[in-house]
Parts: sequence; structure tokens; C-alpha cells
Amino acid sequence: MNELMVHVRKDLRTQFSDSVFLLLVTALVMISVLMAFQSSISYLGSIHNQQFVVADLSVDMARRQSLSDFWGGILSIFTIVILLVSSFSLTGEKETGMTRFVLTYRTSKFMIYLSRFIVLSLFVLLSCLISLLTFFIVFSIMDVSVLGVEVLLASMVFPLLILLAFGAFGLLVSTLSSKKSAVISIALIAFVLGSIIVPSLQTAAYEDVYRHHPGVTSSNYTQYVSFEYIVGIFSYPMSLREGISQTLQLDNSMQVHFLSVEGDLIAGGILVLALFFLGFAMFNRERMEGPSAMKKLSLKVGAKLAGRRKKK
Amino acid sequence: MPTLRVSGLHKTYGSIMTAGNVKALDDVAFEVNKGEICGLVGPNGAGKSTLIKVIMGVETRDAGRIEITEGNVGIIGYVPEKPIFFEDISAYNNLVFFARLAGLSDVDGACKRSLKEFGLGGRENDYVSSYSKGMRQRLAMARAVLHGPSILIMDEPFSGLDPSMMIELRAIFKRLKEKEITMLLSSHELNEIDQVCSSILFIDRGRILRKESLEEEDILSVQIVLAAPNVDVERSLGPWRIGPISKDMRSFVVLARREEIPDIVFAVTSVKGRVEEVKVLQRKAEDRYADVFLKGGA
Repeated sequence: MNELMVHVRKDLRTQFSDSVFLLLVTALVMISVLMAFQSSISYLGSIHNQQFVVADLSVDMARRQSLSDFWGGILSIFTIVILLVSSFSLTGEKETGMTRFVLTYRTSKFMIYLSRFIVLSLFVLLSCLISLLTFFIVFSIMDVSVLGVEVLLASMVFPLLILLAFGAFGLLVSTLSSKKSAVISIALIAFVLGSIIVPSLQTAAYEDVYRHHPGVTSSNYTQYVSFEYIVGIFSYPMSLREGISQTLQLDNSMQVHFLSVEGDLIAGGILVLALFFLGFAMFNRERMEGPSAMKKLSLKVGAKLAGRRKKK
Repeated sequence: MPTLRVSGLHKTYGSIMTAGNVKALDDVAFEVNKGEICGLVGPNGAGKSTLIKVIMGVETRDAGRIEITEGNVGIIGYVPEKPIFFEDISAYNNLVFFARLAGLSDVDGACKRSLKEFGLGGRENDYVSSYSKGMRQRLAMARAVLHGPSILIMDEPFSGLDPSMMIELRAIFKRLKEKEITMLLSSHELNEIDQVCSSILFIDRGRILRKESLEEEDILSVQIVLAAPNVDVERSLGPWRIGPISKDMRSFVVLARREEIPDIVFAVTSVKGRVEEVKVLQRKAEDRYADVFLKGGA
């Protein structure tokens, strides 16, 4: 059997036989139901508040807006869940020594890492599908006509990409330590820092553009933002949320877009791949035959220091 | 021809601050021959577990060579000090995963046979988390030999086992010895080392002090204990070299081959000596340990 499949089958088996997994799926369903109810109620409210005959176009727009809001609500919770789940994906086995034990079987580290990422991606996909299905069911129960399947599925692309990026980041974090407490701390600090730094970065980008192009407004400045700022902003997965409103073709003048839909997709793809390979580079440190570069340096400097002490 | 040859192995712990000079292994060199069961013995912190982890590649080494000259070079069977498994899947599925990693062709058959051989046949579908310590140890052994390795390395296999489990484990070692599997095992249980091992490797402060054979020597020290003193016995033992004799003339030590013991007993009884006990005096692992570590024999 293919080496990757051996790992994937084992990872799926351990994942699905874990009682926490069932608990987690139940929690995700409940969160989705709550979010869907909230979206459907706010949608119905927005329709009923209009005193005149409502045009089909604005009804369609209200539905799209409610779907976008639904994804916004889902992402605000699921990102943390996925981040925590992925942060533990290698830590537990590193803690017990299982990762190093498995590596005594001369198996490829890349296959181990890729397998974890595949299983994590399946979990992310499952979470998104559960959310979308819940949205569909709740809206149907509330007797509200739902958007077409193709729109629903298309709206899922960016949430999927955002959650995948968080998953890849969590997997990277899980390679950094074999202590669960350390991993949780790193993941949460990074999450909080990201959510603080990126809006500040957007403001800084706007001010930078305004200095050079005084005529710009807050709605059109994004086309003048420099590449460095774009890289900084899109290094935080939540920035990809602009892709959801673009996919749903929302006519929202308050929403600024740094990139086109295609640009967002490419940025998301690059981010996921970059995080994946960075994580693999960190994981690759496990079980080296010889001393690492750091250890060699440490030994050299240590020997020199010891020599000096002796001379003294 | 050695199956496992280790030479010039160095391992240090520590950082720049500690000058990297906490030596865990210091120029370790030894050989283990085919079919040999070698016990690795030393006080706590001597470097036993580090040596095993470095051989297995679980820990990195700073310098040195580890050569496997015979058999399946790719994978050595390994039983860590605390056997680790995927706890929330069955014992069978644990073995299946490792059998597939090792590239076995008949995975199902090999796993079932191995579980049966190690007495886990009826419990193969139970989660490992429900296993007792002894069952975990047996499962770890089953996993280690699943792919038919030529070398088996075990870290403290007797640790924390109750007497019945120890007896079981001894029987397992006997079976593995019959298959000519070369074994290196670390242990503090000197009695078990005596019963299981054919050689003993003493390690302290990361250095190998000496290696001794535990195989029975050609000429044995045979102690004859009489029920009552008999002065004629010394004369009857004329054909053999005689060792220490007790002052009360009841205990005689004779240097002889094992097959000569009946002749010795016959000679003693022919001069009306009433034999109470015949003992083969062998230097046990504990005596050797005391020589090396307690009497400064290193």
C-alpha cells in the first residue's frame, strides 16, 4: 500500500475513534444551527421592515447578505476551533514520543506531515459542509426561499480557504513544541496578534496611500496600496474574508477590496502552501541522524568558552 | 561476525550556556554478535536509555558510527521503556499500521499470528487504552518482532512487571533466542539478566566499562555439601582440582566439567560421604555488578 495512504488511513482511524471528535462535530452543528437561525431572523427582519413592495433584486441581495453574515459568524468561531484542533494534531504524539517512534520505521516525514494536513483538510471540508447544510435546512424550515446551490457552494470557497489557512498555521504551531500548554499559548497569541495587527496595517496602508495620492477616498485607496502592505495584510487568513462578499457579488460600498476574486484565491492558495511548507520545515527537524546546525554551533561555542575558562 | 557494531559514539546535552559539555555518551564502542542477548547494565543516569535512543535514531548523536552488518538493515525491532501506542484504536489496528509501514505483504496474517503468539489473540479488537501493563509490554514485543528483525533493542523490558509477567517474558525471550535474534536490552533486574542474557555490558557516565560473557564456562566450581563431616572425602576427590574446603570439613569446592558431576558424587559416596547438596557456583550478574561498581573494579 502507498505510504501516504498508510498514514492517512491510520490518521482517519485515530481521528474518528476519538470521542472528542464526535463532541466537536456536535458542537459545530449546534453553532451552525444558531448562526443560521440568527441569519434567517435578521433576513426576515430586513424584508419586513421595508414598507413598500420589495423588488426581486433587493430580496436576492438581502439573501446574499444574510449568507455572507452567516459565514462571518461561522468563521469567527470555527477559526478558533480549527486552530486549536490543528495545534494538537502533532503535539499529542510528540508529547508521548510516538512521532519519533514512527520515524524509526524509516518512513518519510513528508508523508506523515502531508497525511495530517489531508485529514485536517477533510475535517475543515466537513465543517463547512455541515454549516452550509445547516444553513439550507434552517432557511427551508423558516419557509424562506434559499439561494441556488451553485451560489451556496461558491460562497463556501473562501471560508474553506480561510479555515484551511488556519489549519495549516495550527499544524505549523503543533511542530514547535511537544507541550500542549505551550502550543495553545502560541496559537492563541498569534491569533490575537493577527486580529490586532492586520486592521492597523490596513489603516497604515490607507495613510501611506493618502500621503502619495491626496485625492483618494477610503473606498478606492486599495488600488494604490503597495505590494509590501498587501503581503502583510494577506499573511493573516481573515483578510481573505473580502473574497466572500466578492463571490456573492454584494453591492456594499463600505467593503473595501484589496484584490480581485482571482487575486484573493491566489493569495489564499499561496498562504496555505507557505504555511504548509514552513510547518514541514519545522517538522523536518525531528529525528536527525547527526547534530543540527544549532547543536554544532552550540558545541563549537561551548568548547571555546570551556577553553577560555580553563585558561583563566 | 558482529551483527551490531557501535564505534566512537558521542552525545552531549546542554547549550552554549552549559558549554555543551554534559556528556551523555563518551566514545562508546561495542559489538553484539548474531544470536547474542546482551544486557546493558549500569546505575541510574549511566547513559543506558540514551545509548538505546541514539542507536534507534530517536535521539541524535554528535559523532560515531552504528553499523548493522546482518539481516534487515532497515528496521531494528525496538521496545521503548514506556511502550507507546495509538491508544484509541485496537491492538490489531496498531499492528496493521506498523506492518504496513514495514512493507509486509501479508499484513492481516502477520498481525494475527503475532498477536496470537504473544497471547493477545482474544483481545485483538480491544482499544490499547484498555490494556494492562503486562499486555502492553507483550503488544510492544509483538510489534517489535512483527517484521522479522535481526536485531531487537529493548529499554527496561522488565520494569514494573509482576512475577508472572516476568516468567511470561522470559519464555518469550527464549522463543526469540531460538530464532537467533540478536538482542540488546537494558535493565536493572540483574536476576533477569542472569536468566536471559548471554553477555553483559557495563556502562557508567556514558562510557562502556567492560563486556563480560555470562555463558557457562567449561570448568565449573562445584560445591559439595555433606550432611556430616568426613575426612576421607578430600582424598576421594584426588582426580580433580580442589578449591576451598570449609574448616568443619563439610563443604568442598571442586573444579570440574559439568559432565563430571555424577563421578564426583559417586567418588564422595564411595568413601561413605553423605551428600546433602551439590551446587554449581557461578558468578552471577549481581556479583559482577558489585565488582564493577561497588568494589571499584572498573
